Amino acid sequence: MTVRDTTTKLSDVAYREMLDLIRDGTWATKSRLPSENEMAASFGVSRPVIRQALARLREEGLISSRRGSGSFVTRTPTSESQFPSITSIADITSLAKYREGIESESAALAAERRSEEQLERLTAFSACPQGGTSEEGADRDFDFHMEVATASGNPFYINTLLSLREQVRICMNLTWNIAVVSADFTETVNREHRTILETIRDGDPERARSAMRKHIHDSHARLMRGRPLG
Amino acid sequence: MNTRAHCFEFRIGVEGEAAAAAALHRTRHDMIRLKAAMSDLEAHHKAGDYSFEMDFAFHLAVAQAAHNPYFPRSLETLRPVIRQGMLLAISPSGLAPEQKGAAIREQHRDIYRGIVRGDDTGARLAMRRHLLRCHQSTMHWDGAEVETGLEEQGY
Repeated sequence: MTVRDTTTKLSDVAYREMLDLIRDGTWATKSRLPSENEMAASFGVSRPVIRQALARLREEGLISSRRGSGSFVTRTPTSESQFPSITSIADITSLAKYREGIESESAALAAERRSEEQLERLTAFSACPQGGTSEEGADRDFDFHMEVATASGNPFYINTLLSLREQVRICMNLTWNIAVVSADFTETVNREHRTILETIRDGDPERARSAMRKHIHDSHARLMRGRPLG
Repeated sequence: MNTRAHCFEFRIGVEGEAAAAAALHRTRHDMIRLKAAMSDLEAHHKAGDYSFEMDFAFHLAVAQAAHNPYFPRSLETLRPVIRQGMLLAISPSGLAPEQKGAAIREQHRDIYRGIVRGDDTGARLAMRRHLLRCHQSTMHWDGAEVETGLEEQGY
């Protein structure tokens, strides 16, 4: 096992312990977390491990950090997600494969059922703005996927994607962070979203299914290459 | 559409994909488990027991053979709704439970064969077809006008 693997495993443990402290109110909402040195001492791990665990809490929106004044609890986690959290590259791949299945199916249903109003919303959300921050890009990206699920009219597809929000956002944040320097990346995502939009607008379930499957597959491939394009 | 219909529609997407992934990733151990789930179901049916748990166990074994935690978790979360659909699919109406049970087991064998062959497309199709037929066989409970000719119904 490499040093990096060990650090990752330790930070998973620290992350879960911190999550429990937030959940049971020991670390109450709005309260300030102990310093990194204090946490390192009380969890019996190094500061890099603590920082990695904190980064994950921050990514999930449970804490916010301000330079010089430490970290604060922003909210308590909602009920235990029905799905496992992302803790490794393997989880990211599993999630992508799962999404290929469910989101391609909800895109096909959306092509059969979408109302005019839903089509308008899909159109409005299909383009991620050029020159925005990676956060804005990822926000809009998720919104579009959520709109497709909504247009399926099936509460199981809608709720499933909602329950996966945190996990999907972690992956999208990674992708958009890698890509933020590239205008071509935004254009690529927009082009793929536009294709999905067109197939749903045309009421073509088979093409909607394959367009969504390809989009999720290609996005995952881009993330795994660590390069936005090419 | 009601909850049961939506649930079948969701299962067609999720379990179809799980079966395809299972065909690509199944181990020897998974195949033994699937086979055991099929013979358990048959033993229970032969004894006149059309319980939900045995049928569900097969579906869960397929999801586990996908080696992707998101698939079995979906099924476990939906267990109560799936139970309702499965009970109606086997409940007496039209055909006798023995015939319905035999049809369900034959469809499970189709799925199993696709997975063993490593044929992802075939396994996906077999699972989708199985769930679609189960869905169709419960539609009359909603008072829908469903033609339940033997051939169309497939049961």
